[in-house]
Amino acid sequence: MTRKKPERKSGITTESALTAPVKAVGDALGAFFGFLGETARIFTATLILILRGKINIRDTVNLMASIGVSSLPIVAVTVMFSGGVISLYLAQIVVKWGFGSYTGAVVGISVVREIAPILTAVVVAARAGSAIAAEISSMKVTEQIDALKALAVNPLEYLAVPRMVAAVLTLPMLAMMADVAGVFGGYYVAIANKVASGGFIATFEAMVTPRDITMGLIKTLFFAVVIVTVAVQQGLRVEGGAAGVGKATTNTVVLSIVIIYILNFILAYVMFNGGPAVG
Amino acid sequence: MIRAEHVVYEVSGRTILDDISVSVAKGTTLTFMGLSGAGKSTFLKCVSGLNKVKSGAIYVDGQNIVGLSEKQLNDVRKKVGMVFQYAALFDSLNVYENVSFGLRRMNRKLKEKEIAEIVEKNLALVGMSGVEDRMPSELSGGMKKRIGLARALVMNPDILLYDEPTAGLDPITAAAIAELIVKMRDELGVTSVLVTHDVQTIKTASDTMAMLHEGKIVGYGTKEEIFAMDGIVKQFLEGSTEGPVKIS
Repeated sequence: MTRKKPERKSGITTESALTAPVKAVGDALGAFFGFLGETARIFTATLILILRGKINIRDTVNLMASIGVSSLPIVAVTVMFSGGVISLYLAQIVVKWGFGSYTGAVVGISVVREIAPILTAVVVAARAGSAIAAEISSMKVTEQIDALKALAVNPLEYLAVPRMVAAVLTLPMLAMMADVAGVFGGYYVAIANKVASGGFIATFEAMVTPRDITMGLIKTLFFAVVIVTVAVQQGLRVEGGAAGVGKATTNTVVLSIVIIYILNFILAYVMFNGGPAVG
Repeated sequence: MIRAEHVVYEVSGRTILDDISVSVAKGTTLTFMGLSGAGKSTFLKCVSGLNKVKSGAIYVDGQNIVGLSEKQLNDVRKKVGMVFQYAALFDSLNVYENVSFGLRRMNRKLKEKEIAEIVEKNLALVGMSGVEDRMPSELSGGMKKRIGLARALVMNPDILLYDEPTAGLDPITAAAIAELIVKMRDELGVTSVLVTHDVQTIKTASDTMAMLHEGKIVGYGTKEEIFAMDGIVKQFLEGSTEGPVKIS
């Protein structure tokens, strides 16, 4: 009877210890580039279908209502309180120095450029993005996607196109309402903290330009594309049963939010020329 | 009508179908039988172009579908109806919308009245009249499979692919589905490939049969030839634990 030599065993362990991290990095890179390639393919194919006019108006309108209705209350509440909390911190400091009225400018710029677009996108990713991923992944595991193909229907045309169009049209509208809610929240908190109403409004009007508002809304178009593309990609690649559906849903929210924040930095840099916030 | 030649299908380097060659004559039914995981449903998806084979050829109505683009495959799929194992009805659509789904997209010139007539006719054919407004969640397993069949039939296919149409059904409903498959062949002249491991359905619906085991064909012939075979085929048809296949 032969026994394994300790040296041999030790050699294997050392080799594994060396190759394991390399393999892990390789797998992670493979998954990353796989994700990039797949999302790029889905986005391109969906865009081509949209440009060819393969849009089901009825489905799109229904989805717009669904995305808007499901997200609006959460968007309004989160942005209103975020505007309020900025106002709260700011007013406590600037009122002492006699610059209380500038709360209007800072709250306004913060809300329309950053808080409203970002929080709108985050809420829609969590609420509608997860729903899209759950729906598509459930369809995948129950062979409904195969059934679409068997009926000679392009799954992207049926699933991705109306969702993409609905999200692209709905997010700016939600962000616009979020702008109002955020400034409204900031205004009332400022007034409660002894900022003069007229001063708040005057600095807001002076410093917040139509360009700030427009750029903030334009950002949400990019975020809408990210949310839907990631949700569709995660939904279509799912494997397994209920566990796979849960994973796809979670991944959609996490990936969307991470990409939204990275993209937001790039867009902010490009749109506002890397310059100061007020200028 | 359907001919597969030396079909090989792999997933992540694992061979699922190994050198499969079969043919189905027009207006007949070929039944694929075998243990769970033998590759039966995989073969069906290869025939409908849902799975891309590694090598070999699959001729559907004289056209080799291997290597076709999705757009070209869609033209072939217009001749092929597929009935899925769990029916795969669209959850968010009611029965009427499910059955009319392909029709609406394939033939956009049809008027709503014409669509309604076709849906009604096909629901009657599968014995499911009067459930148009129900959602899939309100249907039993047997009803779902009938609706799935109606959804395939509205496209007026020359070929029907049935994936485990009687799985999970009680014996009476299973017999009714098997008789429906025979009806489709006899009354509509449909060419069918049936995947099942239900011996009663095999007996009722098959003209020719193929036994798949671990991705390979281990028996192929007419119903009579297959029922006369020994080895794995005999063990399977008798549902015996005694034989070449050992389940541990």
